[in-house]
Amino acid sequence: MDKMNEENIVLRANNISAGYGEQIIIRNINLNLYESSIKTIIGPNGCGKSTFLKSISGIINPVEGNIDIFGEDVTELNTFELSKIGLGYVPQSENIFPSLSVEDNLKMGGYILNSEEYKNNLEKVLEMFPDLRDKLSDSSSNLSGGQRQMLALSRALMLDPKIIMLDEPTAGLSPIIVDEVLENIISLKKSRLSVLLVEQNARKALSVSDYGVVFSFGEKVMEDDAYKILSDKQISKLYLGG
Amino acid sequence: MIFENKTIVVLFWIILILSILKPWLFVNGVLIGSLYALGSIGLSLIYGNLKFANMAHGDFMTLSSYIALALLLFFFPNSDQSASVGPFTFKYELLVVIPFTVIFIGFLAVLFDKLIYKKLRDFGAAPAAIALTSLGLAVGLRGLIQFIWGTDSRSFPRESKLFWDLPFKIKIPPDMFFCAIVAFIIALAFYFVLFKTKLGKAIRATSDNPDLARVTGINTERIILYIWFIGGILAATSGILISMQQAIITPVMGWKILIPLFAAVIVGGIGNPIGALMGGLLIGITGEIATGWINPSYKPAVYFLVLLIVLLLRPNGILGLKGRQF
Repeated sequence: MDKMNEENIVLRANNISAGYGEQIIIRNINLNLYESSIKTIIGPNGCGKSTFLKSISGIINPVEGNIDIFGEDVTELNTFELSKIGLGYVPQSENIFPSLSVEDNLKMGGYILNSEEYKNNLEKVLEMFPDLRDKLSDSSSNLSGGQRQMLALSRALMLDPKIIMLDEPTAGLSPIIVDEVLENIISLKKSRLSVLLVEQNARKALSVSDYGVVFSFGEKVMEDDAYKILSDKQISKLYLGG
Repeated sequence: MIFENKTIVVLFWIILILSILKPWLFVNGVLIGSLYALGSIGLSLIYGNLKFANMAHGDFMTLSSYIALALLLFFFPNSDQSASVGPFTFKYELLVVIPFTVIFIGFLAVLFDKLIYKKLRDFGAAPAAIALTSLGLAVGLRGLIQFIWGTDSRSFPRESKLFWDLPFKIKIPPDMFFCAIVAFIIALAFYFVLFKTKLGKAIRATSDNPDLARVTGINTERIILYIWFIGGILAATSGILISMQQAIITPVMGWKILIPLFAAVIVGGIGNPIGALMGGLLIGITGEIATGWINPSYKPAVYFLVLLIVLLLRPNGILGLKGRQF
């Protein structure tokens, strides 16, 4: 936990409570994300993992608490403004624009870029995901599950974010593709991105993470180094399938 | 893919054979259908993005005709004595006021969004509630039109002209041809904007998934204003063209035309503007062809029959495939 000091915090969620309408899903969540690290949130279905990411991304407004990104309070910012300050987000499902081609999806990813920046970033993203290069003119709705995830991640990377939040990027993928996606996540960290990951595939996700967080019934019940969570027998029994 | 279904192929052939039997009705259908298409594209654009049926669309069409007439009479009070444009019945002055009217209606649509619809969105109002609000706005606009311009019918200053006589008993009123050409050009321009420009792609992205669009950095509230502006322009253009083509302006013209417009939108696939274009043409053609055998006053019944048949065969409309809405 050597990186865990104040200076390295890129995202700080303070006392976040959020939900849908009158229904509060998550309560008083405090969470810090550190520079060039991977932090994975695990927990049973319905415990509020996705709701937490949505509240950070501004899709739902927290009813309580505040969010700092790079030391700036962004709680009141509009969702579309967060991408400009370096926050990328890939939702769990419906994470591409199905009526657009692969290239147009990437173009929308770089919507706020000028044409030169767009070309440069597109080239970088295609170097990272070379399989997409041959599919640029294809309709994104025809992509396989793995390719869709790749496109969703590429779209989020078009703005060259410093922080990326991934909501169950391996959901519904075959084991080989899951490993590929996790490899991609490790390479994101190597390129100095901070990754906040929500995963059902908890054991695999924690194995590539620096830190882990456990949510239960809308509350944070544990936070520690990922390897410690992996070796915790009780957590293993409750959340990692024994 | 569209014609996979055998029944649709059979219906296509029936329409084709009837069109060959009475080609003049087919031509009329295409010309009228192009105007329906233009109106329904606007309606579909708003539905595709804002997910509600804009009941005020027809009254925007009516209002645009009255405003064009008011501008014409105000700035060119002697336009009824001036020369008409070539073989057409309308005067040059009308062509001058149309662009100003269309842009004004575009901005008016944006204003209504800021004053009414934006607030409803912020309150998290259900689409049905927003649709009912638009119905209230429609009634209000119609009342305002009747208050200002009265309930009597009006028309743009015009000069009688001969129909064009073509082979196969095809007779085309020149104005109808002009309106159809303008409608097609605008539909093409709209297609270009929607599919070839960054703004159009952002509109389609917002329609696909507004949350994802916001996350991506698209200011969806600004996109919605563009949508209202474009929707207003399409409503105004189709309203004025229909008034020119029918040579009459009445306070209920837009309201009445909502039936074929909604039929066209649903037939084409709700929220798909290309579908709306196809739906508009199909509704126009079948409605006109039917008048060769039945009383024209039954045309609305034909629209609904087409709607019923298409929905029974393709419940999402012609181009209403899941995930392919624009």
